[in-house]
Amino acid sequence: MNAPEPKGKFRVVGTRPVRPDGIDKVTGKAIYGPDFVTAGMIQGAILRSPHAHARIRSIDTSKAEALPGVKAVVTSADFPGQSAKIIAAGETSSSLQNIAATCMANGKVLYIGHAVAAVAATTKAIAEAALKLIVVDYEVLPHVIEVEEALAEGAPILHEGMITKGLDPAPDRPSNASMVFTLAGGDVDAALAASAVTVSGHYRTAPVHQGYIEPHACVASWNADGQGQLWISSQGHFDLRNQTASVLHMPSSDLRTYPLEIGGGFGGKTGIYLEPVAMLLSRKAGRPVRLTMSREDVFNASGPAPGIVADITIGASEDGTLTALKLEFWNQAGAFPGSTIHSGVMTALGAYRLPAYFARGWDVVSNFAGTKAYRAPGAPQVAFVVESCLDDIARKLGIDALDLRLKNAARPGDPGPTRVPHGAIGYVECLEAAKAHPHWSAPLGPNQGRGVAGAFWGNYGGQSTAAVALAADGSVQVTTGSPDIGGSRASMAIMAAETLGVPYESVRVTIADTGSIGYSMVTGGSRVTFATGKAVIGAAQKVIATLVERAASLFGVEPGQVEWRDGAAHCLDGERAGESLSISAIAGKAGQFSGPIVAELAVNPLDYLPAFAVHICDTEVDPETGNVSIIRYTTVQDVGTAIHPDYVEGQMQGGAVQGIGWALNEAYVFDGNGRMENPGFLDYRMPVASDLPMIDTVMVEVPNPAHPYGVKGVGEAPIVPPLAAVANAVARATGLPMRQLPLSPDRVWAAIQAAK
Amino acid sequence: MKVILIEPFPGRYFGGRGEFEIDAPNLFALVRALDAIGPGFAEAAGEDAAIAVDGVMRADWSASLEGAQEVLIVPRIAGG
Repeated sequence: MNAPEPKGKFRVVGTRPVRPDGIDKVTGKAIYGPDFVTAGMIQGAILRSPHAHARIRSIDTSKAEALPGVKAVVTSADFPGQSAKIIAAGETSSSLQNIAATCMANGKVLYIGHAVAAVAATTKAIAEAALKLIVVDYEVLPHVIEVEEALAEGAPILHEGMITKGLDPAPDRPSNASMVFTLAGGDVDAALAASAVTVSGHYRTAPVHQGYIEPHACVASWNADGQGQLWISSQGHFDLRNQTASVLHMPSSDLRTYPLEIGGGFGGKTGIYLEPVAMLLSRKAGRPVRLTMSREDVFNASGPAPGIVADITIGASEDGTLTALKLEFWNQAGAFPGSTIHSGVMTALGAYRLPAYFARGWDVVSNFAGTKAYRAPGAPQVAFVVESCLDDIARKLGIDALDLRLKNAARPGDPGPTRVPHGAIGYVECLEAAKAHPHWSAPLGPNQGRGVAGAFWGNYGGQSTAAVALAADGSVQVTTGSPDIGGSRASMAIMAAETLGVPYESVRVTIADTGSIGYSMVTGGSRVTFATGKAVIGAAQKVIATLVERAASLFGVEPGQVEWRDGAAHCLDGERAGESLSISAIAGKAGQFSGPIVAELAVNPLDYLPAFAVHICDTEVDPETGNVSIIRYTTVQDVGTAIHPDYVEGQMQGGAVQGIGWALNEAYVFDGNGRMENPGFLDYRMPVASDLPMIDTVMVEVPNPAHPYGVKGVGEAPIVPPLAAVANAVARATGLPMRQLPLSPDRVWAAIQAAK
Repeated sequence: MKVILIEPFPGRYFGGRGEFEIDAPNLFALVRALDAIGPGFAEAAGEDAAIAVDGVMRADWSASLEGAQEVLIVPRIAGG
């Protein structure tokens, strides 16, 4: 570990205090989605499609409704009609029709596991028994899973009438390609033709799941007066409230949404699945209703990250200067349009200087659950392609893999992928730190190989609201609307304590429900410590202004004669010069002023900066079995300023581990009927602690000048490089290109055998 | 003032044209002017666009554009 402390310039920022919510979580006291209980609550269950693609001719729920104990049955007929209107959905947007259809199939099922009906009953057993009494008459249709099948001539069309957007001229026939996104600059074909070397490759990855431990769950209550409550575990209870209210055609303010603890999200809990269904069941039943997904439901019916198929060519001059990049990739988007092609294209172009480029992504639907964001959505797959191809260039030219990246790395002031210039970025610093790390020059043994890969991730800022309130004893209450998925209670408390000059332990942080504070966007895009942090700091500064004003009155001087320092007001002039008033001394006199000391601030900062990372991976390949072991792994990342270094390192390690799983083991495996064959953690193999060495972390601190403490988002960048870092290590260990993930033992063994 | 749009906006609303010369007092007025050329753009921009003025991302569309040389309109990118 390379913790950047002591910082000197800060008192609390950069320290590693105990997590405020840690005790409750490790002792099992914290209330997660499936734990929540409210008075009168009954249990719901969902009937899901056994077909990957079918038209629903009819649904007969009469026998289920007649079963004793059943209180409500819901189908798509109970949903209000939806328009094609696009609404905000977290950091992105989606059509109301598709959001609603994700919750309940309407006329057609698009994947195995698609919800077709729901029951609420006095017990879960009765609800599940009732599901078996519902008769659905399906007209089974041919299905497609892989991109090539979905785009083949005569392929079954999932969404009738869907014309590919982004092509000129627009196609005149529907297809399963919903859109293309292209960024191009310079004459890429001429630049490639003039290059001293070019390397091309065809790559493929499979859909993978975010793998959060806690399944989707909610409790809904729709009152007789039309108002409702939702208790949910999510990455953004404001946005889930807005989506649910939009689908149900109710005013957002009529739906008060309470955040519960979240047992992992990684982007997968930014949209709705169960919430409108539970609300409709509750309205019919007149009781609060709980819905919880099983693990199988989570895999089958909640969005994984897309797989991709990609073709790439990169050119370079003799000295390794990149001349051009040409990339075309096809996202396996699942059942609904809107997969992450934009960020995939950005990823291809964000990290290196490219005189000529053409990057195009295709969004292709097929018959499995619609894909959702997964930590740096769209980036790891594309970085696998680009960073693997870069390694081929380095090998072909005989240049050190890090030197090649250093020669071409994006620097401050360079145009970013959309031409917005890069600010104070630290990619070069990360590459230099990686090169200086002992890992890079450590010897390797037989059958071992070392891979490296870089990463660009754009990050985000956006809307957040925070409040800071002082109790009469001077203790501090910080309230935000940002669910804590990675330690943000701690980082908010640290930034409030740093700003106010008070001990960390005197600050408590609450995640408020939608009726108790203004809007905050989802916890995603690595935005919370940056954007919500700005709101907290700004609110704390407003509190300080009030404290100074009141202290001035108590000292009998003007506010300009009072300085706030070390958690106290210091009188600089007059008879009481040199005296100080503590925060509690001022807060305790609220009754003699205009009231309690409280400040709220809403912000929308877009002066965030992208994150860059470099990962080094050593693998050992067993030539007899093809099994790949990770024997050493180092992550290097520009983290801006690490507010709580433990949690920054945790993000770096967690991202690396998820990426290693993606590289080595994880994949949706479908049978010939479109059924996922591995919808459980025994067969869907995510890495566990015993699979991996300690993940070393090097935090490179290049502060963001637009944030009071220099914060950059850190949560997503670390999942971007591992796919390529692992593949490059295996390629160097075996001497064979590794262009399809996961690198499962059978695949690696087959490659070794084929090369013999 | 030079206005540059990055895909998908040119293809979807402006017949593939990605550059315009438009003067406007603020981004709301600029987006309205663009919507007059490419109907539907304003609604899409409200949901999906990020806008940089002279290389700096701009959150507040009501702020003055006086003295601005270049406005760049790009798609907003999702995070996880």
